Order: sequence, then structure tokens, then C-alpha cells
Amino acid sequence: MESFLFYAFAALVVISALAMILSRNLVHSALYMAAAFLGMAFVYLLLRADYIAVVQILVYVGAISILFVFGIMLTKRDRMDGSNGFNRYGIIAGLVGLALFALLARAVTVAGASRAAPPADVPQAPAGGSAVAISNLFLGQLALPLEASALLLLAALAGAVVIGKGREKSKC
Amino acid sequence: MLGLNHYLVLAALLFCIGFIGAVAKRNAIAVLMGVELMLNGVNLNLVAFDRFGNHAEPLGQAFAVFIVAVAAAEVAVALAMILTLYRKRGNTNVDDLEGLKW
Amino acid sequence: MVNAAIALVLAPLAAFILIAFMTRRTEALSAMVGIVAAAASLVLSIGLLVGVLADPAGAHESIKWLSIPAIGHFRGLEISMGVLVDPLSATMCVIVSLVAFLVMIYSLGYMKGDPGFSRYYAYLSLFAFSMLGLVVADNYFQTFSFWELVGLCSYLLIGFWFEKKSAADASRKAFITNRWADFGFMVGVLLLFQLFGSFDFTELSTVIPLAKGGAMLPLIAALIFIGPLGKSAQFPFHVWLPDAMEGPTPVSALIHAATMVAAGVYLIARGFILFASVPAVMEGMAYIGGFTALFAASIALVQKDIKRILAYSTLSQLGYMFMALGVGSMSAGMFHLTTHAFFKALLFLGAGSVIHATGEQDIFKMGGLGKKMRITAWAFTIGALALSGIFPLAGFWSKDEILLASLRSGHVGLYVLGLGVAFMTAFYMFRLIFTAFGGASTEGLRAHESGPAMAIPLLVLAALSVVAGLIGSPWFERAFGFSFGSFIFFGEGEKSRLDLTTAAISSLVAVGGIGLAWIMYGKKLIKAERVAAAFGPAYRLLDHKFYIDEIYGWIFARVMLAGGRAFDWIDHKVIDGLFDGLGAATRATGRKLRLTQSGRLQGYALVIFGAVAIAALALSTDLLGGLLK
Repeated sequence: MESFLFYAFAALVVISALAMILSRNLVHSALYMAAAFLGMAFVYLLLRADYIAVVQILVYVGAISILFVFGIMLTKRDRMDGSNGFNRYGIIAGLVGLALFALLARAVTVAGASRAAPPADVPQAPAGGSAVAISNLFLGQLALPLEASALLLLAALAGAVVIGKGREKSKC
Repeated sequence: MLGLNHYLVLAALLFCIGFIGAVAKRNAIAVLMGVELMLNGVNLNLVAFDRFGNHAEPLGQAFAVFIVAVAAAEVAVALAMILTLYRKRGNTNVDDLEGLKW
Repeated sequence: MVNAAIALVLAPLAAFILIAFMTRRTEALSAMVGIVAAAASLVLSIGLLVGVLADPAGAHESIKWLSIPAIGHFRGLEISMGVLVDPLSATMCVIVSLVAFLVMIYSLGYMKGDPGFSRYYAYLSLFAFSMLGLVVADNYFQTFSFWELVGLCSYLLIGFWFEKKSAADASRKAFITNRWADFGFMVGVLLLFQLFGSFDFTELSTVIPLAKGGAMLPLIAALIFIGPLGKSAQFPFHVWLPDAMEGPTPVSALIHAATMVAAGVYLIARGFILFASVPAVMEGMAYIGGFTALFAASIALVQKDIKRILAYSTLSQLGYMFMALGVGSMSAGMFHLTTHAFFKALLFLGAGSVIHATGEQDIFKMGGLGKKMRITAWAFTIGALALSGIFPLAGFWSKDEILLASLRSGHVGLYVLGLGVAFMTAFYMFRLIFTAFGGASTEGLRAHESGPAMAIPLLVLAALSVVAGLIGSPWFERAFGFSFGSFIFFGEGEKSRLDLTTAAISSLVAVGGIGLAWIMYGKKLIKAERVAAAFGPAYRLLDHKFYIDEIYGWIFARVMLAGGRAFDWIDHKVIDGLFDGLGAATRATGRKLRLTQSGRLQGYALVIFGAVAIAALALSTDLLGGLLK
């Protein structure tokens, strides 16, 4: 059952991702991306990482995809056909990507063989999901990195505003 | 039986597809999408290792949350830059950017 | 002792640096700095000499300066810097610093108002430094360094008035001639090191006698001997010295008396053990010296330029010194160097005084100067008498030593030749004096006695020319228990002796020379022109200095320039072509490679990832074994 679910979701993710890079239409690409992100959320659930799955849906599918659509909307106002072509590196990039994948897959199958199954002592997620454990971490051991990432987000927010506003607009 | 390898290979596949998207696309927004896909591949790696590794605390998942936060920040800033670029040049073609040479 | 020696060498260097970098604009100050430094050197040298007189063993100290370990069967290189104080170097220090000091004082008057006044004093100081450094050096390498410095300084000073073409040419000629000779010296020194593994004079003096019979030793001695041949302007390297007249006259005094040409004789004396162990080189030295003495003296007979006469006289006297060294008497050679330093400096400074007063160098355009320039005339005459070897002036003692040494070592031919040279010397010196100082004064020739700055050095040197010879006399030995011969010697100390026969013969010869000059130029009983006409071809030969310059000029024009053109062609076509080709290839490659720098970020990312993939593949072949094997 689990295997079947994994392959189904993996297929969803991979097909959506391929469709995303192969699509000639930028808006379609964005939608495929959202689909891939959604598939990822299900894969996370299979890994008993319910908190991450929820975050994935909220942040990636909900926020980042919308952000991309906004970006497209602001920069492309004419027809979307052919708005997402390949550049001159298309074929070489494909080859390098394939080679990279072959290398990684080979490395994984050679090195990861000993860890075929999850440890027996964590058969089930604890009650309340992984959120409890993660929040314990965030508010204890990882409090400082959390604050730092908060600062980073704030800086990114301010930076995005400054950059996006542009110089000529700041006069108004 | 489903093993760690399955997840890692999926992550590698995602990473490589994202890489092709990031390198071979002409539109800056599509490039950014490719980068997001690569980050997701990495995230899957972290969560899979967290699951199959023998840890008392879900540190891998916590790390994945940080990556999500950083990715969000990156997308925000990058899109702002693309917007500026568009305002300046009228399109978002990465091909036309040739400033990084000699 | 060692500290004093170091200080006396460094004082002129400090003066040079001070003048060059600080007091250049203030001429009086520059002169002061130079003179004070020279005076300091002089005082320290005298102190050193007194110290060595009390303890003839002297002192020797050296530090390792550069050490290259042996690689394979290549011998390592060990270069040390050191100071060697012994009777030889202490005496030489006194001569050098004394003459330098007097020349500097003299130059106050002679160079007054010259636009390069400060530069002149800077060069003089550097010259003194180089020569003193050469004198106290304790090994061949250090000697060679200072040897080259001396050459450089002579180049700078001969070409001091470089805006004059003849001066610039003369300085180049001096430099190039010396380069030829120095090359032999350098190769000889390197071979010496190859053979014995040491540059050190003291060490070599113990090693060389043991190595007798080695096939390399004669070659080394001959090669090193070429260096002094050039510096001391012996035939066939003599051509630069007469031309060196183009420098200011006090510089000529310095070069001829104490520094440049003395360096060659000094080097032979310093490394005497090397030459003494190769009889063939000693014989060659003696005969080259004798030949140069005769050759130069005969040229001097017909010269008209006052400085040229003195220059050829220097050549001839240096020939004497080489002859003395060659017949094995280091004492006699060094003794003649010492006395010659005084009277030749005196003669040159006197000539400078005449030139300064009249602006004329041709002795036949002078005349009657004796009445107008009393001090100069007297000083000059004393110098000439000393040079001619008239008892009891300095030249008498040292020349007799040389003649005696050649006679005792069985070189009768050289003895007779020496007597002939003595006759010629007396003749041409008094030809000069009777013509320039005696007779009626030439009309329109303005002359006046020089100021005290120039007169005082003349008087000091005149006094020294009178008494300096006495230190080699038997009387001195009787009074103080030692003399020059038992102070500076090679092998066994030589008792000073006065061989009455030799003395009488040489004195007679000298007086004869003076008498003939008096008859021809004083009384004009024999017309010099008729003599010249009678010996027409010989006269022309002498007047053209045996055509040596012309021969060299021809060799240079034909052989050297042709060779030079050939090398020029090789340089331009082959070597330049090679490097131009390399450059062009690099540029072409660059032009192509430049295109990979497209400026597109994605291209760069692609390359990075591809490279990472390849690197990972290369690094993890073990892990991924199955994939690659």
C-alpha cells in the first residue's frame, strides 16, 4: 500500500516537474510547479513528516506559487504562447542533468543499500504529529537560528520592497 | 518494501530536473522555478534522512523548515529583481544579460 | 684593528651617500663631507699601520655571507665577507686614503665653479670606498666585487664631463677594456674556487703550495693575471689609460697613483702565492712588465700633451712594478708602487696646476712657466727627479730595488731593459720640464700660481716624494730595525741593501737622460726636429703609439662589428621570432578562449555543475567502482 502510494505521488511529482520545464507557456509552468509542490507534500506525509507537509502546502503551494503568478502577471502582459522557451544551452543542459542524475542515483544505490528500511523503534508518528517535537526544538535548542531566520525574512521583505519599488518611483 | 533509496533517487531526479530548468530556460521566472525545484529536492533528502536515521529529535525536519523560510525570502527578493529588470529592459530574458564577462 | 679597518672603508661610502642624497645642492658642504670622510679614513689607516707595525701578524675576521649547499656533484658555494689586515693592506690603505685626501683638497681649487662639483666629490668618495674595500678584502670574491666597483668609478670619473664626446668615448673605452680583462679574472676566480673550494686568501695560501703540479693551476694563474693586466693597463690592455686623460686632472692623479692602476699590482701582491707557484706566469709577468715599460717610455718620448706624457710614464712605471713582481720580488714591486703613488700624484697635480693656470696642455705652447709658477715648478721638478731616480729621492730607492731584484734573479736582459727605460724616463721628464717650465715664456700665455688649496697638496706630496724612499734604505733599517723589504715581503723578508754598483750605474743613466734632454731642449744644441727627421719612420711609429689604437680600431670595426651584426640578426630573427611567435600564439589562443566567457550566468552554472559531476566521478571511482570498471 505504502509503496503504491509512493510511486503514485512520485509519478505525480516527476511528471509535473518535467511538464513544468518542458511547457512553452509560462503560466502553465507555474501551475505544474504548484502540482509538483503538492505531490511533494504527500511524499512528506509518507515520511511521517506531517508538519513539513503542511508547511509545504502553506508556503510553497499557497504562497510561493501565487508569488510566481504575480511575477508573471507583472512582467508578461501579452500572449503567453512560447513565453517559456529554452535557451542555447538546452541540449547540453539536458545531458549534464542526466549525467548528474546518473551519478547521484548510482551513488545512492551503492552507498545507501544498508539503510533499506526505517528503524523499527519509530513505527508510528507520535501523538499530535511531528509538530510537537519540532516546536520543542524551535523554542528550545534552535531558538537562536529561528530568530535569525526571522531576521532574514524581515530583511528579504524590506529588500524586496526597496528593489521592487525602483529608483524612479521613489520620487513620487 | 519502501527504502531510503527510493526517496533519495526521487530527490536526485527532482534536483536534476530543477537544474535543467534553471540552466536551460530563457525566462528569468522559469529559471527561478527551476531553482525552487532544486531546493525541494534537497528538502526531500533532509526529511528522508531524518526519517530513516536514528535520531531522538527531528532535526532534519527542522532544517527543512529553515530551507523553506530561506527559499521564500529568496523568491521574494528574486522576483523583485526580475520586476526591476523588466522595468529596465522591457522583458525578462536571461539570455540578453551578458554583463558577467571579461 | 678589524673595526678600524671596517670604519675606514665605510667612511667614504657614508660620504658618498650623504653627498648623493642630502648635500648635493650645497657644494661647499659636499666637499666638506668628502674631505672629512677621507681625513677620517687617513687617520684610521695611519692608526692601522701603526698597529700592524707593532704586530705584523695583523688581524683577520670574516663572516659567512652566502652559503649554497652542494647539490649532487656540483660543489656548493660559500661566500664570506671579511677584513684582512696585514702589512700589505695597511700600507696600501695609507697610500690610498692619503692620495685621496690630498686630491680632494686639491680639487677644491681645481674644480671650483664646476657645475658637477658635488657629483665630483660623491664619485671621489665612492672611488675611495671601492679601493679601500678592495684593499682590505680577505677573499677573491670580495676583491672582485670591489674590483668592479673601482672600474665603475673610473668610468664615472673619466667620463665626468660626459657632455664632451671625447670624454664619454674615453670612459667607455676604459670600461670596455677593463671588462675584457675582468672576464679573465672572473673565470680564473671561479675556476680557483672549483679547484680549492675557497675564495679566502689566507686559506688559499696554505692550500696552494700543496697543490703544486696541478694542471689547472697555471691556467687559473694566467686567467687571474689577465685582470691586473687590464686594471694596471699593461700591454695589450694599455690603451685605455692614456685616453683616461679626458677626466679632470686630479682624477688622473688618483687613478694613476693610488686607486685604479694600483689595484692590479695590489691584487698580484695579494695573491702572490698563486702566481709564485706557477713559474711560467711569473716569467710572463716579468716580460710583459718589461716590454710595457720600454714600449710606453718610448711612446712618451715624442708626446706633446703634458698629461699624455705622464700617462705613458705611468704605464712604463707600472711595467716596472710588474717586472719586479715577475722576477719574484714582491717587496720591490710594492715599494715602487708606494713611492710611485707619491711622485706620480705630485706630477699629475702639478700638471693640473699648470693646466688650470694656462688652459693649455701642449708643452710646446708653454714655456717659461718656472718664473710665473714657482711652487708648481719646484714641486714638479722634485717629482720628475724622483721619477727619474735621482739620489736620494723616492724613485731612486725603489727603482734600484727593482733593478737589483731582476739582476739577482738572473734576468740580465730585463736589467738592461730597465736601465734603458730609466734613461728614457729621465729624458722625457726633463724634455717636459725644459720645454714647459724653462726657456722663454710664450707670448699670450697667461699663467699664475695656484691658490693654497692646490699648492698645499703639492707641497705635501713633494715632501713625501723626497722622503718616502728612505723607508727602504739601509739607513732607515739601521735606525729603526726594519725597512720596507722586511715589512712587506713574500717568503723571506729582504734586508735592505744599497748595491753601490747598481746605484751608480742607474744614477749615471738617469743623469745622462737629463743631460741629453738639457742639450736638446734646454740649450737646443741639437735640434729636436732634425732628430725626428733623421729617424722619420721610427718617430712616426712612436707618435702614433705603435698604431695600437688603429689596430684595435680595425679589429673592432671588422671583426667585432661583423660578429655583432651576425648576433643582431640572430637576435632579431631567431630569438625575437621565437618569442614573438609565442606571444602571437598566446594572443590567438586568448582571442578564441575569450568567447567562452560569454557573460551568461546560466552558461557558467552549467560549467560549474558539469565540472562538479566530473570531479565527483574522478574522486569517487572506488565508491562507484561498478559504474566505471
